[in-house]
Amino acid sequence: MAVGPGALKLAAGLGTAAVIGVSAAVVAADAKPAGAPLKPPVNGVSAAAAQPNELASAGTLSIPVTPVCQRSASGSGVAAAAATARPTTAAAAALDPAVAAALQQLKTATTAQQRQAVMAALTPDQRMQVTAYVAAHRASRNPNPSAPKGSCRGVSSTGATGSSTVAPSVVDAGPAAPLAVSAVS
Amino acid sequence: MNALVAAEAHAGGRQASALDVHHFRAFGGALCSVLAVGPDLEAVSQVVAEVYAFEARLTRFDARSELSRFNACAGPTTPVSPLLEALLRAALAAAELSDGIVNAAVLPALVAAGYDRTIELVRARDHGADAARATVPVPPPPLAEVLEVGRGWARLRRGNAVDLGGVGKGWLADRLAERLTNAVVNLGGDLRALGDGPEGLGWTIGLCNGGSVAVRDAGAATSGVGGRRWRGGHHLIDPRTGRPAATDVAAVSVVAIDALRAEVLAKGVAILGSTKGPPWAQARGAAIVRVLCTPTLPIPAETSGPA
Repeated sequence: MAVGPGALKLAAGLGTAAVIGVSAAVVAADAKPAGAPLKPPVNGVSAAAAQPNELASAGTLSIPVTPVCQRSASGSGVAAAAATARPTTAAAAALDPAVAAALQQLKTATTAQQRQAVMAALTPDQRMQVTAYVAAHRASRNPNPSAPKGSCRGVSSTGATGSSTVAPSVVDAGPAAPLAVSAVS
Repeated sequence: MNALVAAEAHAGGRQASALDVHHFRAFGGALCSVLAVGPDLEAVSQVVAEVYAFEARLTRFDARSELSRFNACAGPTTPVSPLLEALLRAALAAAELSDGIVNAAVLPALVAAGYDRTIELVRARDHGADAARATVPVPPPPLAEVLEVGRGWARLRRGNAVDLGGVGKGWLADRLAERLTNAVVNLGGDLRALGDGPEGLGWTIGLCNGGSVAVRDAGAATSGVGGRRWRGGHHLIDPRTGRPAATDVAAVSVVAIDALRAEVLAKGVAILGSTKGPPWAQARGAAIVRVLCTPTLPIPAETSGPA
């Protein structure tokens, strides 16, 4: 029995529709894991990012630390909590206007000479305040710059805490006469 | 200022660079120095001036200093300068690193032990007096329980006081050395070395045992009871007892990643003693620990300058 082209096309179309229908039914009946969203939320804000941040309030770009690092790097006890909190009672000290102006100028300085010129215009005490302020910001951005990645512990000279550090470059100098001496004072 | 120019490096035929050496006294007469290769002399001059500015703001021997005023008004929240805030944070970090062995809140105990004025005046006062002071042990509380620090403010629990001497020198040596790219800033034994030194081979640093090390980027500090002593006591308070530490360490030098860490670990070793101290420090980042022991170090009976 001869089958015409039209009948063949009709049979192929019906077959395709049947396959698609069966597949759709199988997918619809398949149980999906209840706890695994198909894609992460895009509108939610992470808990870390939602926390108050001093740097953000000061208009400085900051990357929130993870809860684990935050807990370890900021120490323990009331002091640790206070380290990231705002004053609860009295107002914080206002910056010396000359120090504040120098900090603004340092933000825009692009060369070492420009930075040196900014510092040279200050008194020694004001330079110390600028140095301390910059060091504090650096420490809060990077709680432990000397620690290997992944470590939340270590102490850096800027005051961050922890137990892991990069080893210093030091070798025995033998009988060489020292240029400087570390003596008990 | 001495300007030294080494003729030529002894190894590798490297040409030595001009080395400027500045010596001065600060922190109650301690010998300090700045060694810098090819520096902008104006920058070195600024560094020295900042040491004096730092001392003026943070000395506990001047009632007008910011630290003295902060201690005097312990209790309420107090506005603090960026510098005092940074040092208080460093003190908290030091206490945490040392498990409380280095505790800035030992000041009342230090005063009770007799160190209530500059060391020269303490020795002059005690010369000819009774050798033993009737000290009352004042074990300090854990620092984190009595000190809170925030941005621009701090709060010290009433009845407490802090001494930022050792931590302060280490912190300052680090900050000032960072200002000079190839230099050593030595503040009474707490020093930070940065750069390759005058001959490109690192900076040669002498330690308390007579040995030397070459460092390129490291801190070193020496502590011990061989320095600030007086009849009946010394300045290293063991926070576990509130008394001057009963230790066999006359001096200990520690080399670590920076001067602050070296200072904290050296003080810890001096307090803990020559047996427990070195492994304790190495577990906390000390690259080198050199100890000079003495079982019977005599307490100076006559007035003398600081060691």
